[in-house]
Amino acid sequence: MTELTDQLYHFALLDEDAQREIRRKLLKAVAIPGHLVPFASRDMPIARGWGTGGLQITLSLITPEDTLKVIDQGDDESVNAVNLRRLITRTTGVATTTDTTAATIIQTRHRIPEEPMRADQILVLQVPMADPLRWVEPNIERATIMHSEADYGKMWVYMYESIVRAGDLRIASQYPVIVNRRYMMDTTPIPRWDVPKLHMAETLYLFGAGREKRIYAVPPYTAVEPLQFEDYPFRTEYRPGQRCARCGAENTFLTSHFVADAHGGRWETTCSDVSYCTKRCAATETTA
Amino acid sequence: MSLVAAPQTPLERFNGQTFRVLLDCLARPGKIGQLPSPPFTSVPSPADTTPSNVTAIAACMSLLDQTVSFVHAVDKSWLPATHPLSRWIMVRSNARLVTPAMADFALLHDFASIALLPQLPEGTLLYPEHSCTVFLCVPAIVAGGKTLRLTGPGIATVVTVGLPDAASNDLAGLMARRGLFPLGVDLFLIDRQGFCLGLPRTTEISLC
Repeated sequence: MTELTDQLYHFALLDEDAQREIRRKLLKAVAIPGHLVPFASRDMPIARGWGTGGLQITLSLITPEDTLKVIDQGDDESVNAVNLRRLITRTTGVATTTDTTAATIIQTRHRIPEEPMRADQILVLQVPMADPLRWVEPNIERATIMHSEADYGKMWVYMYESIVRAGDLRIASQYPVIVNRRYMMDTTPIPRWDVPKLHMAETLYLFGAGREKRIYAVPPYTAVEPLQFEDYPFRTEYRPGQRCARCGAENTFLTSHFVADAHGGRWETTCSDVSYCTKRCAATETTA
Repeated sequence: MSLVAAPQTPLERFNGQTFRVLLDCLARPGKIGQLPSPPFTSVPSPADTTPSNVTAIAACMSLLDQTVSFVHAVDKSWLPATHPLSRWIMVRSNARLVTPAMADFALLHDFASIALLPQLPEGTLLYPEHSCTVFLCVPAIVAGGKTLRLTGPGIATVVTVGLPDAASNDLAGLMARRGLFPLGVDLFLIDRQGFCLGLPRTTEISLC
């Protein structure tokens, strides 16, 4: 009896038909890089908007032999990452890791890890807003027609107007890119820092938007070009002289947080990729 | 942390492992994947002269259920619903056997049936994903061989693949109806040893 109550769920939570539907959609997404493929997006035990798209992709991919890493904003220990990891391991029994190089599947929100990913790894991204055209065309049916005709003129005008009004491309994250010289794609809320990592990468990137019920993909060795003008080229958030206060890295994506102390406190910038930062700190301690 | 899910059945395990191989092969055209051995025995033959490629049939069935449709062919002709193999697949997958122009999946039991490729749906500009996924049985696939030269997304520069025993007509059939991106048919070539080659619509194919 104990055994029966302990095994109430299907392997990887989703039933076989739900997994198969997502698998079919994933294959089409890989065959049409950057194209948004609608999928059923079943109800999950977490609310839509908390990573259900990425979660459903991971649960359809995962085999008992996989090693899983889950990150949220680069952090393995934040609430979203911990809960998703617990749900996946309790329904699959897979091994988990915080080391980017040891994982076979990495589910992520907002970041691509700093350490280069390999061909035998898959990165699954949780997507809040799937369609890059929503800024200029809120109706998704009309936006689908624009994608089908590669009619991206309105988006270029939007980019131009943002320069005229603000003096710069006012897009901090979710930077639009053109994939395989055909489809315009949203890069999820990854910072501009991570956008170049999509271009001609070794790894397969899978994107899942649970609330918007869309799946899309960027296969390895695929051209991913950010939208830019000749006189306003695409730029990452890199600032000359930037440095992580913890590990001293000068070439990573940084986040700032307020540290309170006796003198009223100060702002400190550290690596967003916590596992990478910790690894660097540990290496420094060993050599010191 | 205690596990709350039942272990996979042999068929679920096969479907999960097969999907990973198919995904990898489609994301990296030219890479030859090894499909796991299928948990099926005594599968009917498509024709007296053509033995069934059980791995290819099982790989196709791993994606079939009651919401999708399929067709299958041998010797350049589509097989009817009354064929023993059609019934064998339908009763196990619940998928519907339909006309070629409506099929979500196509299983071509011999290389010559590639001539039927133009009859399969290629999707529409609004819904390019409404296109057929084809499982093509071939005698042998050799990594790095000198038959096909592939370029496109998923390939670093150029990759070559060998298809020994392939007739020039069949190779011409394989290269037909390409270059229509985002429309097109996505192919999986599966040989008798269970080796798999993915050819998505994005791959440009030429002869070596």
